[in-house]
Amino acid sequence: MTNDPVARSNITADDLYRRSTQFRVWSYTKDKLVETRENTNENGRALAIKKFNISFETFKKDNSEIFESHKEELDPHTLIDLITLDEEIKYLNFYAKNILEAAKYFKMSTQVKSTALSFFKKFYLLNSVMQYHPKNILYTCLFLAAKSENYFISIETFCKGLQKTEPKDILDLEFTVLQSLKFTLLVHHPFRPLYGFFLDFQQVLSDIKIDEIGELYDQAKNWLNNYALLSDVSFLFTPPQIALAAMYDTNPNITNSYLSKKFKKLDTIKEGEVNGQTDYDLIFRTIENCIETAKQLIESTREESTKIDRKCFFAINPDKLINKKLKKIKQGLQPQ
Amino acid sequence: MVVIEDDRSKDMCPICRTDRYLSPNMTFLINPECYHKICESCVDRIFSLGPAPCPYPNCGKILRKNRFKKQVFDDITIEREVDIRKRVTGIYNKTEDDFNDLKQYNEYLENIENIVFNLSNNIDSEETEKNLVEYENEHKLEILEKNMRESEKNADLVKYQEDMAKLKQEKLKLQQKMEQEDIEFQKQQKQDLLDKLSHSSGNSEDIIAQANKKMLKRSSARKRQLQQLNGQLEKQFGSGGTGVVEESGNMTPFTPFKGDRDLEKRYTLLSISDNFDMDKSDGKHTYYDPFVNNLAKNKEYLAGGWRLENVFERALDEAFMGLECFIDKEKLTV
Repeated sequence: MTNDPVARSNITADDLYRRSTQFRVWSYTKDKLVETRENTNENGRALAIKKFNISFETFKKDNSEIFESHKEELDPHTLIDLITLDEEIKYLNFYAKNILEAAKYFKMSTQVKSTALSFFKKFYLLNSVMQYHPKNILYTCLFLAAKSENYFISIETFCKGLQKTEPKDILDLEFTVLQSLKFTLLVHHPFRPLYGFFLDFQQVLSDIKIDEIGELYDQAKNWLNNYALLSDVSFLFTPPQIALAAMYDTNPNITNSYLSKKFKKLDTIKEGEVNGQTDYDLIFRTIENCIETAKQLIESTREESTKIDRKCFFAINPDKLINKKLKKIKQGLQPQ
Repeated sequence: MVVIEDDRSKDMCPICRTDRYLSPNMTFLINPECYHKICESCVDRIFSLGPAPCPYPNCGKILRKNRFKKQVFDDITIEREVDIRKRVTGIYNKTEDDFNDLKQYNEYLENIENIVFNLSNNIDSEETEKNLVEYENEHKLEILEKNMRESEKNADLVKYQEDMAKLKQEKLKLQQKMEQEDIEFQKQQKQDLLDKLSHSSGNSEDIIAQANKKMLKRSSARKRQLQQLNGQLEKQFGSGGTGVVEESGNMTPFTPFKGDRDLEKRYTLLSISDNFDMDKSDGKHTYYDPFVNNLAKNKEYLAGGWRLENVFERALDEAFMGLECFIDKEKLTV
């Protein structure tokens, strides 16, 4: 109730949305979202450095001569190579695409797929890849989403479809993921609102042929799959706004005539002539913003990702990093 | 001496002269017809073969075995009054709710008291009895229905079902009676027609047509009457059934806002036609979506409670749920 920004005499459907966890917990302003990501990256780095220092000290104790003789090569500051915020975002984007593939492999519905992606994004909004490696988190999210969206699949069948994954890997992480999600499992996706608008278009724009609206609907659905799922829009906008954005971007003409018919008319009745266009303008601007955000997709190539993957691996296991370096030095020492 | 005599007569059956001293297990029964005391073995002996007159000298009332019962009250007059009261209140079974004000109810109770008093003290008993029977016949259905509702209220399911069956039976009887009357009437008409044909000199076809017309008229009137009666009874049932629900059921649904909810939808839901003609794809009258519309023809879906309008309504509700929550604005103020 404290979230209610405007004192209204009547409860609207919007107030209902304001009650949802998606709005209360998982909605951010643009700046806040960036800030949260930065914080998470910072925390991840701090954690990785701490881990690195511990293993560095133990190795130093055991191999003090080599550490003395190769001070420059074994300098902790040059040795440690952590993932930056940009890299992390790219890396996560790469893995998010894997969710789509895995969901396709298991023949999961769009609903399950979108929920899994949403879980994954929410998890890494609060946790860094330097803390949890995304590979297993990804499968855990998918498994959880399948459960929460009533697409039941046993853990054995699930693991059989995946390479080198044991039931334990997934089940152990399940609670961790749930905790990070703050146990909010209900996700509102833009797909049903899109369908709702598809229906409402038919009512409001009775002069437009049904085939045209149907085509618009199909294209908008593809738009959601291509842009909305992977981008940050679900943190920044509400599902109906995203749905309208998808429609506007696929066919501005029809969508605009719908918007002006629907909201300009409503406002003159509701608030009079003075601020007759506020609602329409606001919605319009929000939609444009949404399209812009959705289209800012981060492209990540395979090579880039493998590079970051190595970094990530060493950040989580600093022992291996130092060990590898030591071996290299030792090998260099031998022929001399 | 007198006391002893009295005691002995109390414990002795006046018919067979057995007394408690010799057969300590004997019990006395009375019949609400005359309230004469007879021992159980005598009742078995005399009334086993059907109704028989009371063996008491100068009584002679015809008694039936199944009406015999154990005496509850020591005083026969009280026993009798209680029985009468039971019977009268069984007929006059209205409750305070059935009256508009207390005064009317009190008058009704007074009337009951009068009848009970008259019957138990034999004042104008014949007249009163006649009135009572008349009232019972006139209000038979009403009484049964009232009984049923009472037992329903008391959550006595078995009794409720019994009463329900009784009421149904009564309805059936009424219907049968009417049908019987109809048949007799038709016979009568036929006879009349034959008489007319044989005696009158007019055109025979005209007479037959006239008679047929008359018959048709009557039978349709009868039908209407029957329907009306049935409808009335149904209505009484219905009001009895739903009345309880309406009292307890709060029409406001539960919402997170203490029942406050969006009553003005932001869309108008198009009506959904029942026949989904695939050729009719103009989409003007209903929403056009071949896939979902096809599902609505599937009986398996419908049997599970799936409804097309719910699909549309949910989608449209969600389309406007949060449309005007502008996160970048609202979250900034928090």
